[in-house]
Amino acid sequence: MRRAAFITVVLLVAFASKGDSQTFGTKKRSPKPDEYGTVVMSNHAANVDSDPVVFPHWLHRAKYTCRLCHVDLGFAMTANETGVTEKDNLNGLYCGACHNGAIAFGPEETVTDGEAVQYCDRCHSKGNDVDLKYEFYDFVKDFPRARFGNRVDWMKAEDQGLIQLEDFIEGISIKRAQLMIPEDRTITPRVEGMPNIIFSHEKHTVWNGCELCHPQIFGIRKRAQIYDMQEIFEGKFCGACHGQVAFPNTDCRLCHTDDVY
Amino acid sequence: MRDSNRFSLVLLVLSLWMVLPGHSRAQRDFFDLPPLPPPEAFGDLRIDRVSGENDVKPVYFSHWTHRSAYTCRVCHFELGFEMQTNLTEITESANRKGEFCGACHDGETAFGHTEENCAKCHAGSPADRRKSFRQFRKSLKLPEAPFGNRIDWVEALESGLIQPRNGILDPDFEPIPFNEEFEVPAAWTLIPPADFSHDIHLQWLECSNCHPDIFKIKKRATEHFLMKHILEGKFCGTCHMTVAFPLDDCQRCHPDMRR
Amino acid sequence: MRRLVGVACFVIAVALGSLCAPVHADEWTHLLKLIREIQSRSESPPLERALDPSASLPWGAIKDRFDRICGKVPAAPDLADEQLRALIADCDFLSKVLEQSENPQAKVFLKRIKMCRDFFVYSLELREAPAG
Repeated sequence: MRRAAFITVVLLVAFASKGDSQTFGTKKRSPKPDEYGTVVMSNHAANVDSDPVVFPHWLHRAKYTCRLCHVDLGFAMTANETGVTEKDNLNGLYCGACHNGAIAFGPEETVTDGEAVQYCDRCHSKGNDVDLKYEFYDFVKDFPRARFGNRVDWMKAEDQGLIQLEDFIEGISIKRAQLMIPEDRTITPRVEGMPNIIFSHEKHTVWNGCELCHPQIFGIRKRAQIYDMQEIFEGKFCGACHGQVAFPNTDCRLCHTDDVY
Repeated sequence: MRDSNRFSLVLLVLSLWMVLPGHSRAQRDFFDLPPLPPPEAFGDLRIDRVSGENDVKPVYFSHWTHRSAYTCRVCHFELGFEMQTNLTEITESANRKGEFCGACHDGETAFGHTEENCAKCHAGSPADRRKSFRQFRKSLKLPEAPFGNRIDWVEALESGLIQPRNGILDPDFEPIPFNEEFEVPAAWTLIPPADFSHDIHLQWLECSNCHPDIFKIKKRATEHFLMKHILEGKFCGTCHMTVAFPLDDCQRCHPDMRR
Repeated sequence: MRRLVGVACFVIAVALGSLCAPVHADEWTHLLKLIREIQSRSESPPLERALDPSASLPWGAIKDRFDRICGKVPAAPDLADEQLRALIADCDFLSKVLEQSENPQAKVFLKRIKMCRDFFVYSLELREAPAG
């Protein structure tokens, strides 16, 4: 009898102290404008005694469409999923398609006095203080402002001609048929009272094409497959881009534009 | 009585005592709420992230002097201040560049970051603002509240007695029209549920101040949402411990709770 | 006698036939031209599937075929079902060729052809899925 009571008390105490994880209920640190969209790639780096790669999306998205890297060059949509190796780069795949010394800096360059300068550290820069060619705040100082993410309205910047995005690499990209753009559609949120979302295919296909989203992110919607905002915040569906690189999901007003009364 | 029976009786009384609520003073003792500072000092924070190591006195920041002029979202979203003390990477150079405090403390909107003004913030000890606080409260005839600053800030805003600006980098900002109200059931039996109104919070805050980090966006998906964690400064306690009306004011959230 | 009658009927029949359907030489050539044009307009060249996937194609030829197949992706929602199925079959064929290829670029093109194939399948399934 006493033993049973003792066990009960122990269990009660154990149960009461459950949930001691400190990561819930507090606001996470928001990334700074120049940090937003930065992806750390550390697939093989540890194996080859090299620092992980720190990839800044902001600089690349100011020059190229999403489709060019994520469809034509075959980059995956999640960090470390592509499996880029040094050999691939030297063969002109992935990063090496541009980082070959011709379009952008390559792995090494022979300077005037015949010496070969290695540029490994410019990418394999995790934990190191590297002098980069472009400084974020200088680069974006005249760009139209946004409230979240990089704090830059990239779409407006393109409309105003401040950035011109390349969509074609010779020998890799293909000439495509004319894009058939479906109409805008209204998505009703699951929570009553939240304004409706107006989804524009046009705005997305201009940067992504079709095969980037369909069907790997948005497949056939079977009858029951209705996604919710929690999944989006966790990186699924819209959250595959919005929250990682494109304007984050916390900018509710940019999607939930159609007020309901 | 036999030993084992007595033991079980003691155990039963103990578990009943843990489950049944006491009156508010007992609750407060049980919850171990920190003692409240005087109204003019409620919301004051000591910021000492790098001041000490740079031989500078720490900053004593007063919330009430700022919240009558700006809503929470201006500083805690637009200017990038974190919701926890000493987490924001404020430095003198950042301030001089116009970031953080320097966004307003530039000599035009508010006193600037100059030599003679250092001591106004880097005071080393809390400033005595009793007089200015009483004057402020009296001149605006602000409605009273039982705890905290003893000011009902929500009522003050709704009746137009204060007009805090809702955006400085984004002057045309309009909060999203979302009026959802719901009941949050208490974990303990016999505690009445809390009433939560989005509308009141959206007058001061942004969606992103709370979602999705502090509260998950899906109903009933927020885990460990318990009073004991709120008292540790999580969830509602992020604000309702030190700046917004404190948790001593049970009835503000749990309207059916008896005093 | 009967043979004579038979031959006479045949001659009359041919004469009548040529009167009713006056297909002259130049009209035959016109008809033939039309048939060839319709064949060439057909979107899916049958040549791909006639080849053995294990036969090693030069990289340039692989790239040309890839361009032709994946170039149809943006227009896929408007293509007919048979055309989509033909494209899917072409993707499968080219995937097998790419698997055999020793060119270092093949692994990226393999991924890309899979994305194209998935999109064609998606376009087809979208028509069959219930509206929603």
